[in-house]
Amino acid sequence: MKRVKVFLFVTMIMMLLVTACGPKKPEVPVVNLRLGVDSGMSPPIIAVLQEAITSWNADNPAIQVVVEVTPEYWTKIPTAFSAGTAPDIIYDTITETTSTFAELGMYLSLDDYIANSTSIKPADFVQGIWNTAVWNGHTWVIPYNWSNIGVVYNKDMFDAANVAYPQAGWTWDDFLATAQALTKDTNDDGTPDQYGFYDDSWPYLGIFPFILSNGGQILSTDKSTVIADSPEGMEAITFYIDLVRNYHVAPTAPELGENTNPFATGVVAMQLTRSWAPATFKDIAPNLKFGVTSVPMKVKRINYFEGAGFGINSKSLYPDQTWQVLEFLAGETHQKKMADLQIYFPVRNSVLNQVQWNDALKAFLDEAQYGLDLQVVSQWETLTSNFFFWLGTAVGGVDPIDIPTDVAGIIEKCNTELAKHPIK
Amino acid sequence: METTLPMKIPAKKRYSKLQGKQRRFAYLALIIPLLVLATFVILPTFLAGYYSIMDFNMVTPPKFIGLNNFRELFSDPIFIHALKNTSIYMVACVVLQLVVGLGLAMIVTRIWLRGKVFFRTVYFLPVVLSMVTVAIVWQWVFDSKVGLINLVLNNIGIASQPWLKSAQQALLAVIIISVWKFSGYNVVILTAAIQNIPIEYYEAASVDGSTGWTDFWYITIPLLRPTILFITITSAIGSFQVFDSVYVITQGMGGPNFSTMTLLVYLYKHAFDGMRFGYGSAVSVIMFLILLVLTFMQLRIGRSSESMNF
Repeated sequence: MKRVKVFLFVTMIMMLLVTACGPKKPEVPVVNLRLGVDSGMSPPIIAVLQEAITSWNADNPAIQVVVEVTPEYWTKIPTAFSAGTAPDIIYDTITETTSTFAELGMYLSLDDYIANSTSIKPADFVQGIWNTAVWNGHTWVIPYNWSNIGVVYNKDMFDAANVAYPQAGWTWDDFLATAQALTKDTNDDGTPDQYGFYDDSWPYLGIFPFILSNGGQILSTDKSTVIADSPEGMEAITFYIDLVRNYHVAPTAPELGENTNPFATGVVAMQLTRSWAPATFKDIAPNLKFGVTSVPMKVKRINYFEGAGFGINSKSLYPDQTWQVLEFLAGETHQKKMADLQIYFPVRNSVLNQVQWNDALKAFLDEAQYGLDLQVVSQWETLTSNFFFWLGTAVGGVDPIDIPTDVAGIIEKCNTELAKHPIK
Repeated sequence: METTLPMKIPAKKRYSKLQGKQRRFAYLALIIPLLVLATFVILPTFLAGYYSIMDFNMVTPPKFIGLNNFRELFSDPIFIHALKNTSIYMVACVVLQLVVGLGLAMIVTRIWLRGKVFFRTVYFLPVVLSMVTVAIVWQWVFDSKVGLINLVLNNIGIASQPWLKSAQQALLAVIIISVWKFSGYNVVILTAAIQNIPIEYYEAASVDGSTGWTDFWYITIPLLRPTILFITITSAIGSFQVFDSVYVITQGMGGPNFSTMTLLVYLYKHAFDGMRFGYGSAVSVIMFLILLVLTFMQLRIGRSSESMNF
């Protein structure tokens, strides 16, 4: 018995020694990447992104990605970049920040990657949004999703006022008449309780669509100057502000109070908004019945694209591996999952045509054919902010303004800013 | 013959081993706070001065541009607006917080008042609340449609006011919020100072027929002068740096027609939103100089009024 025990013990030791000395499985070097996103991103989109990354990590043990949802993202990302701690994959809202980040040197140009890629071909993408990822002759981000603009209208309020629903292609005159018919003082106290429209102070959803639909432009063709003060531009700006101050079909700031969602809360019958906004209505008014129509036109029917994308941090130690993740996020599989949420449109034409869009998104999509190039410049956010600061007072309807003088001052400020960042 | 004793030169004081250890420990204990002060206060102050003459976005290396940032500052009407708003805010807050604080402190220190501790605690409560929370609550109190203040005004026959939606009233609203929040701090300081005034002064004055107001003007105020000077300096420095209440209420936009744009909000917009840290540093240099001059003036006024009394 003792001999058996000794034999078994020695055999076990021998087996351990053989295992230890035998050829080892080669260790696969793991590259760890960080993908940064804004915490203000739509929660379902963040969730589907995290699911996608989990699936990527399972399929790609050599390239592991961590999603970092960051509060105060837009302030932190440039400072993190300067400290060398920015994520490998940088998320941005293409129209507003791609050119700014590219000018700061935060992004790696993707031209060579795209040229050699078998899965990313610009022709496969929605051109309107792909163009916004190009700045100064280079492509800096791969678009991830996009949205456009349109007018949403409250069907119940229209029915109650016996007003016909607006038809796509309607004019400024149709729009004003409709807004007037829907502005009502139901308790005869001299102040309307229901308004036809909501004047947004953000220029994208305010004066810019009206300037463009009147045949005006925001920037000159060479992008060196702001020309929103052309006769067409001034007519559009005046018309937009008159909706509050003259026609009073839109509420003043005191009449609105702290209500940040006047359409969903039934204060206004119509609002110019983005295609992802209707997905948020159900949280405030689950029974809201609404329709979507085009931006009112004076000279031409217009629309424009906004979107989000991902770029490669120019200081990333693993740009090639990061590019693979970008290809994956722009791939059909993930794009379809993201599109199925019915919040944003996918960037691939093939996926766009596969999804059964709900009525609202279908109407927004129909308007995309009228999309214009917003002529992205690196100071786009500064330019729009200059208008925004003034527009808040203008559509607030309380304090006096002088439109020609005020607009001239804003444009001078914008052009001074543009002159510091000449297009190369 | 007069003789003078030779002057005795005191022997070098010898410290015991224990005293020596205590002295070394004291110096050592001072080094750490000094290092923290140097790292987070003194060094950034010098760096702000350095970056104020640079074009610096924190991503690319700084580029020397001389006084261009300052020239741009003083030619920007929004900066002038912010400077004006901040000055008005500071003066109003200093005066009102002092008046309200002193008034409440005078009442709280009355001998006949019961529940002194309760009142002091209640007045101090707003001071310990987060300014962000206070701003959000007051935003609703000032709401032009459903706010409490307009409700009260309507009930006494006054029409609803736009408050935070009006360039004429927005700054007033912010001042009211600040006075509500910070007066309690002055109440506590002034209460302690009033209670330290010897009662004999009032007794002697009453013998000469002095009444309440006379006591207040000729006894209380002069004896509170050092405390009042301290409060005005600290209130001025604190008010000048107003940021959180304004930023929360206006979402960083500076209010209607920039009526609540203050220097720190202006600095934040340009430095952190606009990535112009050189320009932001120039704003901070201007603020530093203004506060330095103000503090110096206040100390001079305080010292000269003390010397006039004696």
